[in-house]
Amino acid sequence: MTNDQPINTVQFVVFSVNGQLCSLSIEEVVEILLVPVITSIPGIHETIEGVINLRGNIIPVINLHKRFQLPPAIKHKKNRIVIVQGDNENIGLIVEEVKMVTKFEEDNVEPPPGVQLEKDIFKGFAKFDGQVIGVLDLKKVLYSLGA
Amino acid sequence: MADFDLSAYLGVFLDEVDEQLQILDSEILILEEKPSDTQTIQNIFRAAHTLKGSSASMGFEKMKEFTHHLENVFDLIRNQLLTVTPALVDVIFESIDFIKRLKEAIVNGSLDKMDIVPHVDKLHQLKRDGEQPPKREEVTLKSTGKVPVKLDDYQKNVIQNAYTFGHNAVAVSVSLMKDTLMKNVRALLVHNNLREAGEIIAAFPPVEEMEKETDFTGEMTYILLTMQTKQEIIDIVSQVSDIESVDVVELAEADNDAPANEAADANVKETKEPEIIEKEKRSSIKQKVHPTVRVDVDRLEHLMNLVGELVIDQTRLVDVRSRLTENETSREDDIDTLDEVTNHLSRVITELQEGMMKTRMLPIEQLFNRFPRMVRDTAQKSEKEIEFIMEGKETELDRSLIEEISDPIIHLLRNSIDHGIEAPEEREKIGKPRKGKIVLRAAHEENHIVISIKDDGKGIDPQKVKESAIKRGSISEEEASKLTDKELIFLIFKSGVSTAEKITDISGRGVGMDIVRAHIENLNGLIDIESTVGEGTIFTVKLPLTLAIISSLLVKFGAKTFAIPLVNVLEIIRLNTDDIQIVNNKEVGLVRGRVLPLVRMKERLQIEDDESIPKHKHREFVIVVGIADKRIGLIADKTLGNQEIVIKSLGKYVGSPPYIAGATIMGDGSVALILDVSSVVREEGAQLLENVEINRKKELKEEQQFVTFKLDTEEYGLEIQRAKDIVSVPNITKVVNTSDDLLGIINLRGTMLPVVDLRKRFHLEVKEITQKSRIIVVENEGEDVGFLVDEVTQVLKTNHHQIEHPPAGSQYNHSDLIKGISKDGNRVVILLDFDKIIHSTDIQPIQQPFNNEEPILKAN
Repeated sequence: MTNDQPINTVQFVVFSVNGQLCSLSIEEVVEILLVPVITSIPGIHETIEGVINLRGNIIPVINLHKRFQLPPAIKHKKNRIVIVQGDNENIGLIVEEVKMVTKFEEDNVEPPPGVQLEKDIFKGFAKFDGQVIGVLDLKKVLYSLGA
Repeated sequence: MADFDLSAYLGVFLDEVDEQLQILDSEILILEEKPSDTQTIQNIFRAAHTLKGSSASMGFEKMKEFTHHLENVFDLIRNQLLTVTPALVDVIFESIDFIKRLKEAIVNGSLDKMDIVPHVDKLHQLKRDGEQPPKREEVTLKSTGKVPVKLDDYQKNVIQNAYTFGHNAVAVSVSLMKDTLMKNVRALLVHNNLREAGEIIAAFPPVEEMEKETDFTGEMTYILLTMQTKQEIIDIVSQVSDIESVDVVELAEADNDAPANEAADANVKETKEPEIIEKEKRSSIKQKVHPTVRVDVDRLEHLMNLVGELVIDQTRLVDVRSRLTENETSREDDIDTLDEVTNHLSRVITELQEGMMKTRMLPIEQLFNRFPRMVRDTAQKSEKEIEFIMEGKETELDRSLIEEISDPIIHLLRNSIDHGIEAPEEREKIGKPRKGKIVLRAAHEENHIVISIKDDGKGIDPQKVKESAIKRGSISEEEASKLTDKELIFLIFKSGVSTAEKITDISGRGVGMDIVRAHIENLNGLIDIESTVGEGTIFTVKLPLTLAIISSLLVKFGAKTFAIPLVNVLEIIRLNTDDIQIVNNKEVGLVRGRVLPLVRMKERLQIEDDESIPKHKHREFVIVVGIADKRIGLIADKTLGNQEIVIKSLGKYVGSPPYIAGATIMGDGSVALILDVSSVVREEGAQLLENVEINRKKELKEEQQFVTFKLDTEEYGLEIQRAKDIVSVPNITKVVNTSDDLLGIINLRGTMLPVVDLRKRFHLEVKEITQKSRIIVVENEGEDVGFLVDEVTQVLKTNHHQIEHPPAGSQYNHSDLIKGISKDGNRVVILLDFDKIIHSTDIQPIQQPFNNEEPILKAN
């Protein structure tokens, strides 16, 4: 599992959600797409925006704004879908903007502070160029949706 | 052998065991009917032998031993030392079942725990009971081989048969080199090689002896039925190394007393029994087998998915192509090329798709073959006599379906036997043949497979079902009293309802039909029952041919496109908003006098509105869908047409949202959802149609519908019952010497039809036939008549309150051709009396030739 690897050996994909910088290990990311037409599905969890067609496969897409209980996102042409590996299938995350792919230095990553909500989602925070980038706990983002 | 990894062959072995057991089952049933049929015995023996051989090679000792004993019994039958009695057949069937259990034990790894002794004892008992003094005369065959060759009656019989099929019987003698190691292996190789050349009917020494290294001398003789020449046989055998000599001697044909070969001293002489000559035309002993490859189902599944993707891409191409013609008129050449390519691609993909489907298809025979045995057992248990007929065995369907429908069919068959067919005495009493008849039939109908089970038993009594249902509390008495007979019969699909007076261990507990229905619903199928008390019942199951690619109807619910499996769609109707009523806070529609529960899917699914679709409409699209026995109407905003779709799962992450069965990818690359018809229907069908206002029904009876059409500016009406057909104007063949009104005759699907120009008839100015012109075919006693009108407008629904009846002879009705005038707002429709029109029109001249045997006039 990528989670167990020391944090400084892998690259991270850095993107923003509601202005906040988040990142995911590059090994968790399958690909990054422009936002295609999303087909919403009635009667499913509200954080799932819908499904998309990725080269013949049906992929669910999560609205991170809803996931993090943030105000609704404004559509922008820089929006992307980050396809990540879920337990059984690939899952897409809608992000505001993909910023870069980078390495973090171990010294610059700190465990999350005691705030309840953030602890749920972040594995840690990295300081990079004077900015704070959250390292997302993908499992929790995907599978601890609550009711 | 121990060095091999046998597990790799286990799958093949188990498949083979299944296959052979199937053969045993079906052949033994034939044997029971015709105990002296040599070919059947041959087939049985061969199957048992194969079983023994393969279980021995896999090292399943117990299985081998047991099948060996079974084979011995067959051997006795073959040599006519044992007569075929029902008791014997029972024991054999028991033994086959035991082998099935052994097979399962092998799968579970518990073979060692199985006790074969009691079963072996039973077989021994049979042998002792049936042993008769041997009556076979032995024919000694002197051949160049050094092994004595003896043929028994049975084998001679087979040889006789072979001659009639044009085969040749030869004795092949093979000597192995003296110092050869593993003589038994060589012998088996020879045996196998010869099997390719033809049919081995006997081996001397017997194969079992050859297998034992110690006793085997390396000399052997086979009696072979073949179509190959001597030299070919020698070549085939010589492929095996360490062979000293091969000798092939033809056995003389029975009718031909002259020895065909001086080396063959012996003739196989037999008087042909008439039975053999009359033998039914079963295929020759050696059936032509097409070479096959066993393929992993997963691999097929993968290929099927890829084909599915091709199908999607192809629809996308077609989509792009059609948009190109709209925008890029300047590049016609390129578009033509694109056209060519897409057309070719579509054809190839269609064929590929069909081909893939076919590889997944298996003849339903595989399934059906299990049934005769089951029917026999069930009939015996319930003391019924049954003639079981199976039709359409060759019908092919998706392999995944074959497994799925097995249980429902077994259940329906059991029901038919146990409840449907009466006891033999009872049948005789009411003048039916003693033997009940059950017909199981499979057939293709368009994209569906239809399986029907028909019995000539006592039928389902709706009243009994009603009583049972009320007793069980599935329905209240009041509710039940409103149901039609058919609806009552459908109550048997409710849990707990049974018409059986007594519960047997076969059926009658009332759980079964419930499960049958659930099964069929899962497969997106429909089930129907037709039953006449005293005459019998027909169950009809309609299933989609395959589960992977289906035809669907695309509709819009609000802004969303949904695909509805076409197998569930019965019809699409447009319903006037007036015909939609609220009953118990639920909307229902009145369709041809029947009440149909309606579901507004847009609201049910909470889909936002599509701005482009007007909110308030006078008419709604209603898609009538059905699952199993239930029918409901779904209100859609728009229908988009039919399309082949590939069902894709939404995946675990999304799970299974309500009313949605999956997703599919459309031609433009977008994702459409597939409606789960069964969940909608199930939810809706839970409440029975009650409290339907009776007066509404009455009103409906008084309602009349008219086909309306235009002549000049006026609108006229004809009762819808009288309008048989409305057709666009074909070539009209003029007929000489007829009245002016008669235009001529047309050929309507093979029937000649006189056509009257209604304009002329009404003394209106004659007009050219336009695109809108239609011929309305009016039903008329004796002969239908077509009327040419300017335009067919639509259907007028009215009740008789709205119709004014003009007095006969009034100034605008001097010819009495008008029945009435309907006024609905500004719309005035003149209702015509076509009886009078037809009678007052002179169409006699052409009536004449029509009544003759040979019409003089021919339509083109």
